[in-house]
This record gives sequence, C-alpha cells and structure tokens, in this order.
Amino acid sequence: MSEEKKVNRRDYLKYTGAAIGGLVVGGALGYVLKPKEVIEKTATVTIPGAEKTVTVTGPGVTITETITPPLKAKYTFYFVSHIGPGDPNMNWLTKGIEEISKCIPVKVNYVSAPRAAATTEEMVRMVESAIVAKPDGIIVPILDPSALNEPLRRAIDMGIPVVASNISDPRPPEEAIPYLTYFGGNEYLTGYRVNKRALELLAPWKPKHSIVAITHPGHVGHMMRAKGMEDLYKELGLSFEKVALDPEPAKCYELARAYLEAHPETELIFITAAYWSPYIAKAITDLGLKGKIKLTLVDESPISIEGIRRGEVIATHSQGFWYQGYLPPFWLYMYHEYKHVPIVRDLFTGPIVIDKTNVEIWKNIVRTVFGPETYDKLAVPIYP
Amino acid sequence: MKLKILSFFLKKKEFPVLFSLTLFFLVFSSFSSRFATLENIASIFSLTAEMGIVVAGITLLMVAGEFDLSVGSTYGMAAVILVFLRLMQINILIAILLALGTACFIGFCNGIITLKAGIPSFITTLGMLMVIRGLIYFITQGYIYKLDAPPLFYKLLSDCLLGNFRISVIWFIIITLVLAVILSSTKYGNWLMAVGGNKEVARMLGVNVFRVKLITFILTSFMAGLSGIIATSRFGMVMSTFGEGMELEAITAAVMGGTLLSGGYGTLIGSFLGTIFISSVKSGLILIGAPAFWYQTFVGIALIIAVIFNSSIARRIIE
Repeated sequence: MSEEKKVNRRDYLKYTGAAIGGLVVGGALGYVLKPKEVIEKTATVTIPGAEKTVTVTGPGVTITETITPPLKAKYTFYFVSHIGPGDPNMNWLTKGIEEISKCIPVKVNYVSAPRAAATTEEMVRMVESAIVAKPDGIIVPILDPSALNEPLRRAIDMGIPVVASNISDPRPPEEAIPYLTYFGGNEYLTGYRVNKRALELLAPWKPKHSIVAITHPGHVGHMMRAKGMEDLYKELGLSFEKVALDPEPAKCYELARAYLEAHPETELIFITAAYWSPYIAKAITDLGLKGKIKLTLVDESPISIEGIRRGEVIATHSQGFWYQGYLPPFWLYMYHEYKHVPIVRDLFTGPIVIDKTNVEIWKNIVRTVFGPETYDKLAVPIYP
Repeated sequence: MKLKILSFFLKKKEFPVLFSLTLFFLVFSSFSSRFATLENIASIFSLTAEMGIVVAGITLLMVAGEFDLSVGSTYGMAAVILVFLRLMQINILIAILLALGTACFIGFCNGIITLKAGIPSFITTLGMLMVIRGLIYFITQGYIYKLDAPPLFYKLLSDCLLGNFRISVIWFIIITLVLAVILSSTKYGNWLMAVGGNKEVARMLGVNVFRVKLITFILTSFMAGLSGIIATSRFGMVMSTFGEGMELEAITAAVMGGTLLSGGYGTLIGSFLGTIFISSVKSGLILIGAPAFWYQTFVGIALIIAVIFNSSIARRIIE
C-alpha cells in the first residue's frame, strides 16, 4: 500500500476538518468585509403613507418586499427581479413601485435574491413561486429567454398577465414570450444618442478620431451600444473604430494603453461600462493625453455623474430605471380594469441623456435613491 | 567554434521560448515602429511583472506535477481584502499580512483537499476558483473601490523607477532569480523535480511528497496574493473582475517557457520569457493594427504556433 493511502481516519478527519474550517473562516471573512450599508439599507427605508416589510432575509434565501398601498389593494402583482438589495439600482425600482402604489389600488411583491444579482436558476425558481401564488400579474426581466420561456408561457396560459421590465425577450415576435409589453432601455439608442449629444455639446469642434472601448467584448448590450455609436459616426462621416478591451482591469488598462499609443490621434472615447473608466483614464493619464481625450459613458452611476460634474465626462445616460418600477403595475392595472395594453410592444424608458445641463438634477435624484453614503463611496474619481 | 556555441544554446531549456520571443519581436517591430520603443517595452514589463510573479509560483507547482487554477481568484481576493481592510482603517502592514495570509490559507486548502482527499488539483482548484470569485462578487457587489494607502506603499511596490519602468519589475526579477536558484540548486528544488517526475521513486528516496507539494501549493497562492497587492498599488483601486482569466494565461506562459504539463521539468527563466511573450502579444497586435475582435483568435494562433515550435525544438534537443 502506498504511503498516501496509509492515511488513517483521524488524519483524514483532521485535514478535512481544517479545510472545511478554512472555507467557513473565508466565508465569514467575506461576510465581515461586505460593505455595511448594503446590509443596513433594506431595513431602514420607510415610505410615508405606506407599509413596507422585509419578510425574509439571509444568504441563499429569497427576499420579498411587500409594498402595501395606502389604498385598499384590488390587485396583487409579483415583480420577480434579478436586481437584489446588494445593487443600489434596486432602489429605483422599489421607489417607482411605491409611487404607483399610492395612486392605484395595487399591492406589489418585489422578489429577488438577497445579493446584487440573481442567477438564471434563481430567477426560474422565483418565477415558479410567483406562479404558485396565482397573482394578478407578473413583472419580470427576461434574464434568460430560453430558461424563462416555459414557466412564463405556463403563467400566461393560466391567465396571469406578464409584463417584461428592464430586459426584453430579444427573439423575433413569433418566438418570443407573449408578454403584454416591455418597459426598459434600448442599448442601441444609448450608443447613438449619448454620443450625438456629446458632439452637439462639443460643436463646432469635431474629434479627429473616436473609439468605442468595449469593456465586455461579445456582451450583447455592449455590442449594441457600440453599434449605435458606429452608425452615428457613419452618418456623420467621422473617423471611428471599435476597440475590444477586457473585463479584467489590468488587461483593460494595457489594451487601452497599447491602442492609444498606436493611435495618438484619438480624441473621444465612449466606454461601454462606467466602472471600467478609471482604468482607461489611467492609461490616458500615463500617456500624457489627459485633457486631450474626451470621454462619454453609460449609466447614471455616481462615477458618471461626478465625472460630468468635474468636467471629465461629456455625457452619459439613464435607462429610466424608476419608470421600470412605476409603469408595469400601472399597465397591469389598466389591463385588468379596461383591457388596455400599450399599442407598441416595446416601450423604451431610456436612454435619457445626462450632461452638464441636467447633471445637478440627476445628482440629487441618484443621491436620494442610493443614499448619500453609498453615493459618495461609489463616486470614485475617474482620473487618478 | 560556431557549432559549439550553437550547441550550447540549443541545449538550454529556455532556448525555444527565447527564439520565439526574438522572432516575435522582430516581426512586430517590422510592422510597427512603436512596438520596440522604450515606452511600449516598459508598459509590457509592468504587466509582465504582475503576471510573472504568479507564473513563477505556478511553474514550481507544475514542476511538482500539480495545477492551480485558482491563482486569478487568489490574486483578486488578496487585493479586495487589502482595500477593504484599509477602508476599515486597519494599519497597512497588518492589512498586507492578512491579505497574504488569506492567500496562503487558500493555497493550504487547495493542497490539503488535493493531497488528502485524492482529488486531482485541476478539480480542487477549479472549485476554489469559483468559491473565491463568488466571495469577491459578494464583498464588492460589483463596484469599484479606491485603495487608501500611505505613499511608501506605492513607492515600494509600483512607482516608476526609470521612465515608465516600475519597481514591480525589479521585484519580479528578484523573485524569479531567487526561485530559479531554489529550483536548480537546493534540496527543495530537487525534491520538486523528483516529486513531479515520479512521486513513487521520490518517496522511496525519502522525499516527503505530501510536505513538498503542500508547501508548493501555499507558495503558489502566496505569489498570486503578492501579485494582486502589487497590481492594486499600481492602479490604486480594485473591482470584482480583478485577476479574472489570469490562471490560464499563467499556465500558458509556463508551458511556453518549457515547463511540462506532466510535471518534473521546468525552468523559471523560461517562464519569465513566456510571460513576456504572452504580455506582449496583445499589445503587439493592437500596435500593428489587427482588427479588434480578432485579438483572441490571433493570440490563440500565435500561442499554438509557438508551443508547436517550442516542443519540436525541445524534442530535437533531447534527441
């Protein structure tokens, strides 16, 4: 028998115990290091005139926020979302729901995973749970059309109307889930309009050469944003190139730097994810190009808002998150009361372009929704 | 005389990768005048330094006949722990020690699970990659966090020394040289080679296979953690994707440098050159104006060609 196989049970238990203990300590360390405000946030928000309860919390457990209206609820809807309490963007949705609940007699249960984002499996499980509750409507981002196809079609067959919010089913209408309508942003228009507005603000100056820095090559949303900018630049006859970077920050920096070294004529960069902008900005700074290159970003995140306020960013956008919480319950109510559905299947809540002319309004909105402490922590300066 | 010199170089384990690298530099320099500039070389070396420290650790582990796919996650976790401990106003030295301690602990878990439960290290460390990355996502919640550290921290780990050459390059060279000496001229180095070559024979010769492999697992994770801390000092911030995908590039660099996937054979200097090759391929492709979406494909093709070339030369040397 080899020495490795001579390990007695005691040793085995000792080492296995040490390994398991290690993982537990690691997990505990991770939990302790978790940003505090994320844990506190769900428990401290109060809504004037409305009752809001967090029914269940804890790792691996689904969170249900019941937003009960001041009016006697006539209809109960489930908002099954991949955006959880770890993502400050959830506040946009819940605040939109709170506002509509004050206007019409509906009760909306916001269901999500107790983290920043739910997985596809969790989404399917949460949709199944919502169906069991037989609500008057389900609002759901189509995170994975093929995974959500069966349960949502079953819900529709059972007479539960479904509204898509935040993410639509991108398949052709004959294949797509037959939901009533979709409320959400449009990635193509984001790339188009943010950059169009930037050029308007910079006119008569025109960039000699511009690029879209795709931080997540292959991601549909990022590619659509890039296409929007590409089509705009083609229309205007301006020099443009798509540059594929990398989600890993160090590689993102190196690739951006290498590109800018090879193309020092670059004067405008549209970055497809706001939180990668400091790494690209570092490449710009290290090459001594700060001030020469203009930036356009995406999202109304604190990093983008403060970037505009500091003059580092020309324009960014909001996909109208608040509307994605407010409008679906309204249209489900209209459907039940009057059988009304929007004329167009896809209703875009964004892009709403943000620039120096409206940035202060947006700063106040985002600060209110995220909370000042979270806002300040996330408002990392773009340039070192 | 000429034949003697040629024969001397051909016998070196590092010769294939050195030849590939030289060829690569010549080709790319002829396509782009910016490629061989000091600025670009400094930029390549900065990235090489961080990845190279990881590669140095993984080379030793591969020589011992094991893998570590969790190095990218360990690199990211050390960086995250450092930044978050600093956010809690913990002393920088304690924060660094805790970050490195966590990295070592990950290596310890990898080693114990692999060696005691008899699970292939490929599977153990793949699982650990996911566990640690999940924890990083949980801690950072997908956002970016600034590092708050005293100036001395940046000076010692990432400041520019000469032009764009960073001090991290010096650390990288020192670590590579120290580990190269350990591998070639110490008992531990001999044990590593023996354990990776044939562990039963090594055991019969009195080598404690378990201890040698466990130490190497811990050392590999330590290197990954150290590299994560150096990278954090360079950028001054951390985010959830820090170090993602680094593991495969690190293994590729080691293989390109002449380290065998089957264990028992490897060279730190070869890995050093392999890392430079990997780091410079992408920037080289950008500089010569290769289409953006084909980078990955080009990198893959370049790597396959280089590895075929390396192995054929290595085979000839052995023959």
